[in-house]
Amino acid sequence: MISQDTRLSQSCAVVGVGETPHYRSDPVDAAHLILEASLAALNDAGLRPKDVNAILPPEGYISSEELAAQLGVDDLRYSTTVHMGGASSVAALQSAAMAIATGVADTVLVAFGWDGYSSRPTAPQRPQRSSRLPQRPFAELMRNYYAPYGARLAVQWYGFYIQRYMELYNVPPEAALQVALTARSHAALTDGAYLKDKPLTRDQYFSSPIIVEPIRRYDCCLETDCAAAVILTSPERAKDLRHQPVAYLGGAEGHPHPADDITNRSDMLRLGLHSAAPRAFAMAGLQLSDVDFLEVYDCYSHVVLLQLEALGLAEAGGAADFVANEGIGLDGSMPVNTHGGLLSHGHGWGMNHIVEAVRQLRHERGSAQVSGAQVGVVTGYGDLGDGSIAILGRG
Amino acid sequence: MNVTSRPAGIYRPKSFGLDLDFYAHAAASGVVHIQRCEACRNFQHPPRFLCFTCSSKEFQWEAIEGTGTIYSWSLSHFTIDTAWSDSLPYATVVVESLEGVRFVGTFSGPENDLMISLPVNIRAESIDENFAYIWFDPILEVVKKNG
Repeated sequence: MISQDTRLSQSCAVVGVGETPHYRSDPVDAAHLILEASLAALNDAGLRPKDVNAILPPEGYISSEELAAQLGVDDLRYSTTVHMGGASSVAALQSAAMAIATGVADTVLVAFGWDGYSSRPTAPQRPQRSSRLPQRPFAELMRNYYAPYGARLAVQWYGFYIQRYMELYNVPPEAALQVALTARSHAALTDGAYLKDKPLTRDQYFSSPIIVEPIRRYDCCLETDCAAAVILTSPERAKDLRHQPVAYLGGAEGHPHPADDITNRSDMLRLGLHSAAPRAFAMAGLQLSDVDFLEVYDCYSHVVLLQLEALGLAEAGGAADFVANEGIGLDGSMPVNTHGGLLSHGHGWGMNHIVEAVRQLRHERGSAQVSGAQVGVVTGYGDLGDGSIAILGRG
Repeated sequence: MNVTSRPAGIYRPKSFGLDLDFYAHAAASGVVHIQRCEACRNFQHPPRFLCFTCSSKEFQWEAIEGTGTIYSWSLSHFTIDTAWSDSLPYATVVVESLEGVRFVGTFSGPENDLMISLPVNIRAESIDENFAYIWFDPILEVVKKNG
């Protein structure tokens, strides 16, 4: 095991979670959704807005100061925003832990929300508020070097390394199928999952159109308008609150090099999570065998396969065998995305994965409960390979 | 589909600074030029202010030998770029040059021939003084995997 400072381990706990429904209808104001989810998380924790003294808002849509003003947080001591795309939500837990461990703040609101459906690239008209989104770190490079050749969508950039992965390791199409079907079966057990009542079959999957090879429509995350939020505080304070605390046991973020250009990484298939995962496990003093379930950032089914390998569940190219033989369903050896993930629950940039992990560790998940769950791992993935991880534990 | 000519109305790079230099050198000569560090002789792309190996600020623009091998590709069956709609499905291809840097461009052979390590010639088609389009031309006739 690598050497890793362990001061952040058990430095804080998640004490409140909240989320909005996933909408795909009239354009919404993402800021409203973020406020709604933040209030729900505070209510879940049994805390008042005035108890919060640090806010970590998502990129764009709303600032920490506007959130503080709207909520009535009158003593904001710390705020920061993580800029790692879909890896931001999980990476923000690390920043929250740092703030609490150092005494900079004692109660932290980590929020996410967006208008992922209303501002989708094919939307007829994007909501005005979307214009606040900052330019992505790789935007300039993508525009100058990928876009002239017809690659302007994330799915096309992901195609570069998913195609290589499939070719190098001869990955069978059933591996991604299994990720998609499992997510949908878990969504069926989850109130609030956008596709709860829409079962998916093998035939439907294989007859769905290919978007970018080998990625089919049902391998792609949903586009939903939604928000989710969590409240973290010190372990001492957590004991007196409403719910079973969920401890932050370890976490890390990692960035591929160079992070702003996919194509010139020495190994295109080496992700930020490859470097982050060993640090997080060393911080927690745990091994994969201690983990009861995974909530893996699933922008595309194939990205789950890559992350299973980065986490160490399988050798490079071995995720397909793991999925087939060990199983990632609730009855498998490692349940994955027990709420349905971005593929079938909704696109909460992974904040919904954190909320789900907390509910699993509180043992609130009814028919989707991983029996006796004590430790869960959440990953984030974004900006073309950035990775983040949080290892959470019951009590 | 086999893309052998550049679609009309493609997204142009809004280049300035080093990015403009990259395309301007290629456009002027018909040969892709890349940054080469004067201190450690490292090649790098896309262009940056510092050498990412030794942090030197001193670079030359050097013509590449002009060959490479396919590293990966993205084969789109869907696009939001109307310039490319009539070319679907089309491949956006990553090639590693002899110098060890990788470029994105378009493969002029049949997309069914795409395979990792396939050798290609790297060609710059001058569009105007600020932009050259990068092409990867197959060197060998591909022997099909499935007969």
